[in-house]
This record gives sequence, structure tokens and C-alpha cells, in this order.
Amino acid sequence: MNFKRYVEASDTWVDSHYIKKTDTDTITTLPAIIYSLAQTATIGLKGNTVQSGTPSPDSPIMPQGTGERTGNLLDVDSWYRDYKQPDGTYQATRSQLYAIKIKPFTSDDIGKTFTFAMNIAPVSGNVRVIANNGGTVTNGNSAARSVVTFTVASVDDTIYFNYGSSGDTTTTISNIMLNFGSTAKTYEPYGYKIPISINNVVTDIYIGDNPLRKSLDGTAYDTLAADGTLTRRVDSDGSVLPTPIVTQVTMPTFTTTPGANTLDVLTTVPPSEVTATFNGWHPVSSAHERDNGAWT
Amino acid sequence: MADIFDAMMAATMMSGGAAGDSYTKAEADAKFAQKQDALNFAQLAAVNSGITSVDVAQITTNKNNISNQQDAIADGGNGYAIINSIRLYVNPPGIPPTGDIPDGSYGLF
Repeated sequence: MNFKRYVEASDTWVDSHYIKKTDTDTITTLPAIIYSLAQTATIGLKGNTVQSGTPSPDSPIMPQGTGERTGNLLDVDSWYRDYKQPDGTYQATRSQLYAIKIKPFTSDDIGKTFTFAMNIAPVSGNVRVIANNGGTVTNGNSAARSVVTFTVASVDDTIYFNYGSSGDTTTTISNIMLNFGSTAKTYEPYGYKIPISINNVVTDIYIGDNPLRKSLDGTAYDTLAADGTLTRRVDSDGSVLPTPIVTQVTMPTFTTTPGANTLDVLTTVPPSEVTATFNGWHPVSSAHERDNGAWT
Repeated sequence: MADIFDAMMAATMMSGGAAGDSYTKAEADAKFAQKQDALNFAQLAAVNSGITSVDVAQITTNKNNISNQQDAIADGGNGYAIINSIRLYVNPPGIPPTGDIPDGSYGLF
């Protein structure tokens, strides 16, 4: 037996029996309503994979996982790994002006406009981002966030930053971003993100270089726990990894309001499962009834 | 003379006396119970003879009020009932009860 209420619009009966406590709702259909009484909730995710159409040797179709590309086109770690610090920033020290140049463009990028930006500390006259497009050098501004916009002329175009302009100064750079267009967008890490919408307020979870996947045989899932533990069990081709890869990602805070909250995941491929943990009302699937002298 | 007669009759009944006038203990108990019931009924009839239909309606009203009062043990009219120390909230569909609600409360909405 259960308490159910009738929904006239859909001509269905839905569960309406809840208990108030801190617990986890497991959600497989989105968007979903969660009934929080707290100011925050934590979210966990289980990956998914969709392969649209039938692949063939001549026209392979890559399986799509759960996650959207971020707006940052530059895999910063692959270009600046030698300068990376434990806190995630990048540092360089030099006694005279020096430039770290990178050539990240392909033939597809020719004729397109990009904006390159990074945070620089301390700010100094010649410490800035610079673009060199087909021999035309464009200096960015010398400021806490140095920005330069340019149009790619060839695959040999470079973008770089100068540092070491005044003795043995250590320059710290961070939030390095390359985006399409002539406007510097708000920084976000390179890779994939999962936008979580609660009452139409979107908060992104950045999950690194790969989306969250489900194996093509349906036996394994990438999972992201509410504490940020990311366990990858599925390879990019949909096969199960021999050994799971465990990393840690930073989980944002998800804000809820007392009452009904609409939860959604704004990815093209929806996750297999969302878990939402919060203090509030949680559905009770069944209640007991007394049947022929016994409680069942 | 009457006193002597009564004494003789009592003595006859105590000793078993003539058929029709004597009773076993069980028979005496049954007769006593019958008389007691008759007396109770007479007393009840006498009491009820003063109760009107208005009084009966008032009794029903009082009963309902007491029942409602039990269900309305609530904080600020929040609309919950306390049953065996568990709060049961009943709200319109899709609108969860809010406020300072203790863990373990139940809700229907």
C-alpha cells in the first residue's frame, strides 16, 4: 500500500508519501523535482553513452558520453606542464625578458578569430600575452588579466606570454584561456563539464579531459561521487578499462531552496543516474498495511 | 401477629419449605440480577426523560470538537497531526511543508 495522489493533467497516480530526513534520492528521469528543506545539496552522477546510428568501417560513429566541451580550447597542461605548480598555477623565473611560445592552431583555424587571456602576477610593463599572426605581432594589455584578440593566418601562428622583465622576478600565471570570438569569456578549465541546473540556476562540474561514459556492453559506468571522487571505468571506445582510474575533481556547491526544486542535467547525453543528497522530504516507496492479522 | 407470621414464613423459606416458594442460590442470584436490571432501566429512563434532541446534538458537537482538538495539536496552525509522537503533515499536491520540521516526520503532498 502507498499513499498516492491523482494528477489530472497526465491521468496518472504518483507517489505522495514522504519522510523528512537527510537522505539520497536516486533519479533516472530528468528533469526531476526534489523537496529540499536545506540551503544546499550534494550531487553524484553515473555516466552514460549514446551511439547515434550504426557505425561502419567507412563511416565510424564515435560514442558520445555525458558531458559538454568547455569554451576553453587550450589544453593548458599539455603546453605549460613544465611550469605547473602544486597549487595549479604556472610559474616562471628569468632574469631578462623571455617568451614562452606555443603553436596550438590547425588548418581548420585559419581565418577564425580567437581571444587568448591569462592572469598575471605581479603585473609589469612587458609581462603580457602576445599574438604573432603571419608576422603581425599584437600585444595584449599589461594588467592582472592580460588579453589579446587575433585572427589566425597560418598554422605557424604563435601565441605567447612575456615574463622576466625586471631581474629575477617570478611570474605566476593562471586561468589561461583560449576561446573563439573577439571577446574574452569567463575562464573555465579545458575539457568537459556537466552543467547542473537547480531552479534554472546552472552550476558546472568540471570533469577533466573525458566525458562520463557507460560501457557499450552496459556493465560498467564512470561515476562521480558527491565528494568529488571521479572513477573512470570506461575507455573512449566504450570498452571496460582493465583497472579503474580514480581522480579527484572540485565539486561546486549546489544551492536549493526550501520547497520544490527542479533538478536537471543540461548535457546532450543525459547521465544514467543522478543522486541528490539533502535534508528534506524523500519519497517512501511503500507503507505497511495489516492484512489477515499480520502487517505486510 | 404480623411479626410472628413473617418470622414463621422466613423460617419456612430458610428450611426448604413448600415447593414454589423456595429458591436455590443460583435462582436467587438470577432473580436479583433481573430486579437490578429493571431498577437500572427505570433509573435511566428517568434520567433520559430530561434529555432533549438539542442536548443530543450538543453531545455530538462536543465529541467532534474534542476529536478535532486532538488533530489540531499543531505549531502555529502548520497543519500537522501528532500520532504516536510522529508528526504527519498533509499539504496540497506538490507543495511540500516547509519550516522547522523534525527528522522522522511524515508528509503527504
